[in-house]
Amino acid sequence: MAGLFDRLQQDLEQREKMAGISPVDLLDMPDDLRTLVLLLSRKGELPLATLCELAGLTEAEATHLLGALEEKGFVLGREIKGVPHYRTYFGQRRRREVPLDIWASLSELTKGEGDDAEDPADARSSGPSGATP
Amino acid sequence: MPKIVSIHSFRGGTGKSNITASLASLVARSGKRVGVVDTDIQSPGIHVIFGMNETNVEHTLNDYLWGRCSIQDAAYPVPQPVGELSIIPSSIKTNEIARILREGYDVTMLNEGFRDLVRELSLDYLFIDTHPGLNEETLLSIAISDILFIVMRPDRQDYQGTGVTVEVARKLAVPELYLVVNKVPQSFDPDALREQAETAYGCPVIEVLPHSEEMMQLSSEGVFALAFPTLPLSRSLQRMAAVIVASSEEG
Repeated sequence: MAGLFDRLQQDLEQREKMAGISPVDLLDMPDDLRTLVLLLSRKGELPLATLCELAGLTEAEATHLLGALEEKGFVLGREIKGVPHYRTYFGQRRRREVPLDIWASLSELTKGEGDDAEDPADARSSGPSGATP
Repeated sequence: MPKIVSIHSFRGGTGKSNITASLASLVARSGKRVGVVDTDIQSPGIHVIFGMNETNVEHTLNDYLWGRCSIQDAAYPVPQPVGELSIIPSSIKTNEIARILREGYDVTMLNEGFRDLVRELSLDYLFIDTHPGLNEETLLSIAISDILFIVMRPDRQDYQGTGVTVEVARKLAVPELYLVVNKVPQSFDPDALREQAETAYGCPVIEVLPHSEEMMQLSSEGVFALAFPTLPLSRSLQRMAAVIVASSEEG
């Protein structure tokens, strides 16, 4: 079972990476990572040396931070003529639609839970005294 | 160096699109190459000010985001006596608005589209008319802006949200951030209002724009600063445009 769990966990992590960064993620990031993502978002794909110069970082510092961002799937790195280049990967904007059957699904999920409890709808239909007319 | 200028407000109805249309037109007429993108995909509107409608728009930002066309294909030139102005409208077709809300889109494409547009049209300025509030495309627009105008009205409903937006813009390290107080009744003291806003938000107020009866009469059937160039509101917009151009020339 541990194998199945690990595989599912890996799938989830992979899917998370594929999702890329959302602009919303920028707000929750540590400052040093955000600085790099903002630079790459504003300038587009940049060679490592240019990024280091703009961010005021050494190559070792920038490589460490970019590694963390790559690991999360927030930036993509590639080599062009042997020179490492990086760009932001924003990915797909999340869908906003709330499934129309959400209430039915929730009802299904909670079926059996607290069956003895008073139905809120009944409570609303009761008068202030709580007595059913 | 091309500049990205975003005009944003936390709440709707602040006059953001009219301000964007006027500023973009004024900057273009100072001899610059200007693009305007309507990223208010959920409730587009700036195209109306430039006389565009379903019959004279073939491709929109939505088409680009769905991979149906290049971003340049969705750019419509608006003739100017001096300079150049192109508008990239969002779709006003109900099914297309619904589709983008339902299916989402690739945010990287939007960001790359901005850059492609600047490069392919050799733009000096790209103006982004945003959707009110804070959502993903708004945050992207703020994140990549060189200059951000946050428009608010002297209305309590605008105060708190504006504070949040200023905070977000600071976090996203926008190089130039200005507040614009719009639709100010004549009975208000503009200097006192400016001082209050600057103190409250710790951010410069670039202009306090008076409520304008002529703006109401124009009903978005034209660019205000061009239709009424001598009115006080237009004078303020001209000063704002001058700040944008000067900022670019400085750096």
